Amino acid sequence: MTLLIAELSTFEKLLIGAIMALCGAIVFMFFHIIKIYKKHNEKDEERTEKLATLANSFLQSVNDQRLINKEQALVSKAAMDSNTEALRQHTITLKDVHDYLKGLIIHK
Amino acid sequence: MIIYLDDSLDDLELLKRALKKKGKDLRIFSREEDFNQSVTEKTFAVIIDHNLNSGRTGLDVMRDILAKYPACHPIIVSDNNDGRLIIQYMNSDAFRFVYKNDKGWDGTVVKYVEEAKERLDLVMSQLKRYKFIK
Repeated sequence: MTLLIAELSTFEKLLIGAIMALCGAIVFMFFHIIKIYKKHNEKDEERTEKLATLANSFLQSVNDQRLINKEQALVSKAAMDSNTEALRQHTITLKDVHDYLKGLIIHK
Repeated sequence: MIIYLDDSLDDLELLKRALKKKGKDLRIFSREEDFNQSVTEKTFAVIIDHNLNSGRTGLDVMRDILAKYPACHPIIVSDNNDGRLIIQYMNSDAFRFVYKNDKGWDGTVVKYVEEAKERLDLVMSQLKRYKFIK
């Protein structure tokens, strides 16, 4: 191997060195990108978990308040307007909030 | 956090792999008791099979979860595509219904998980915008 390298011209040695450095850089970049991607995914997951926690506590408080005071219920217009027991007992979910917000935006 | 309840081990593994490809971690359960213990307020999506060995259906499980965690997005998977069953699920606030005999159903579930996340994002940002939450 040493003999083989000794037989090469300076230009060839430089060329091989450059190719090796390039390969090294590509491998480094590959692992670096994977690392960034994983970190991004973790952060994204963390953020979604936080949002889900917030959404759940918000909806739970809305559902609790709805039982105590009709006026304070923010998003259950259909449930409040209805006299049927089934609808009044219906738990407000994210879908109801989504529908309500869509209505709010359309009518704004 | 995404959690999947199904008594078919093959389906559990199939979906776990499909979500892993997208960089998402799926927790899989074949027993309802274990599944119920794992669902927390951090869980934004649950995937539930309609036919369960326990004698209960996915509908019962889903209703229990929504009563406790109303922000959760239930995605129902089933090898039964009876329209009346689907309507029953949709009327009980299921997020999406996926027919397991369709080709590429696992990819469909992955797509719906993304949609669930987007909806959660959208609703929360709008709730903040309209000052329902700080």
